[in-house]
Amino acid sequence: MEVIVATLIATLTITALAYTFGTGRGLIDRYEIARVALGRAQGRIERLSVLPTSNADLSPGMHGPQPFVVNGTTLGNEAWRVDPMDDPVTPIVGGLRRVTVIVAWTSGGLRDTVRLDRVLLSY
Amino acid sequence: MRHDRTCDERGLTLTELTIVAVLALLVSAAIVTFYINSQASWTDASSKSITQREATALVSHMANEAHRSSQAVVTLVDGANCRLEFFDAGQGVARYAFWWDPADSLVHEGSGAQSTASGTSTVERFALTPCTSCDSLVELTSLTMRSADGRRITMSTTMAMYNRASP
Repeated sequence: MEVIVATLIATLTITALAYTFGTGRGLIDRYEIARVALGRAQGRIERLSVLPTSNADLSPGMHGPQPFVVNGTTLGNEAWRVDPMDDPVTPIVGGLRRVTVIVAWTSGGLRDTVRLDRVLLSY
Repeated sequence: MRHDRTCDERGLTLTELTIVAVLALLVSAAIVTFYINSQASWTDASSKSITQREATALVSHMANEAHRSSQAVVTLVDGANCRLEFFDAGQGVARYAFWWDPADSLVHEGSGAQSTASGTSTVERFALTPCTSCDSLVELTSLTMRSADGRRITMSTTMAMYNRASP
């Protein structure tokens, strides 16, 4: 009886340990794509930040989607939303604009999203 | 006279000993195999994670230096790998640079004579493109790093230079 219980406990322990290794590897792969998505979102915000407000890409509303490609494979898409922002404290003609970049993708059956926003000056 | 048989039958037979030895060997082999596989899996995941962090840190550092700069100049070092120099407004000498060094296949960074390697992971590709339609952006088209166990990590982004006169 003792042998059966010991074997059962050992089997459960090893199975749980193996599961944690697999889960850990899965998370690292998942974060790899998330880091690529973050770089993509940051790049989009940098591009938008040097555009004049009159540019069509900075008109209020949703823009995109554009494909999100990682290592030659399209995993999802990238879109951005522009919201006019009224800040009475900031004495800037035309106010501010909040740009929110959303990169969404599916990998391994999981849907993931990176969302990054920045307030841009209107000029 | 009474004969005590149990006293004569104590101990293990050769067959029992062989079975125990074989079972112990099997269990030991399973434990060692599991340990080696676990160790390999942990090392693989750890080195990949380190390379991911190094790539993210390098991209972040490049973006910070770009923000403080007025102009960027990209030159080819070897094949598709580049050297990126950031300049202050009106200055002819680069204030900071990032470049791929063919001697060690690492990206180095620094200002003037002082330079340091940006991490320990081998860089296979450090490709940059200055914006053709504007002069305030520089694009990191591909940063491909290889982790210690040979796995590739690729990132890309765009960086803006804000230390310029207002439009």
